[in-house]
Amino acid sequence: MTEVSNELSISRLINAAPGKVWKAWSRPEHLARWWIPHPIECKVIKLDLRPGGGFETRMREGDGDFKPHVEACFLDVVPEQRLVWTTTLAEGWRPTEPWLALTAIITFAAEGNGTRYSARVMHKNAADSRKHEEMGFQEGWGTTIDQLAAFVEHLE
Amino acid sequence: MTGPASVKELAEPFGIGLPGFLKHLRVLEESGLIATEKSGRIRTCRIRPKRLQEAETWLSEQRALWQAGADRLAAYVENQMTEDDSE
Repeated sequence: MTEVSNELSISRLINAAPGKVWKAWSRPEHLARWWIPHPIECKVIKLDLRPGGGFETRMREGDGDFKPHVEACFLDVVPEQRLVWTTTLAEGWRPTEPWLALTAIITFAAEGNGTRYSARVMHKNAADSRKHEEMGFQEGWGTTIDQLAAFVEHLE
Repeated sequence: MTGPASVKELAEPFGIGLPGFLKHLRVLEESGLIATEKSGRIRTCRIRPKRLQEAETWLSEQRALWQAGADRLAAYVENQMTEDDSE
């Protein structure tokens, strides 16, 4: 039968040194500025950069309450090189039942005068993806593709 | 093998017992990736192409979200962080 891949990879060359890109990821005040697309507001609750450290962001639209966005646990942290976190664990390696099981491997590599920023994201299974669609996951995680397009156009 | 097939036919090449094989099939069925139908003593399985398509669509949407995140990060680092921020 057709194989269903549960894994995705993306990559982007950023015109800044790895140290600066790392800083944008590793300091809450910076992360909150780009992690979730506008106009959704992002609040960084935990960004404890060590194996077993908590990673939690919440989001809100307009004047509503902040809602869950990401709750995860760091597995590997190598400053200016690599960040690995999973939603299948919470702070201190505590097992959880996440609404989306994923492990993200994020790397920062010097390339020319810039940084090659890459993310490899592994999901649990296709059943998971459907469950989260049913839960309105697309809205929760960030945005629909239409909103995304509008956002990208706004950037340009 | 193409098209709908019985559990027995499907299990044969794997060399594992039917109960174990059924467990795997159940996961696929719960995921919506296959449908099964029992007629008499024979359970027939078929692929649900729409569901497979949906899974691929879902993954490409996730990829688009992550790519957009990388683009936002790039825009932020390149345009909004000051020189002090590069220390």
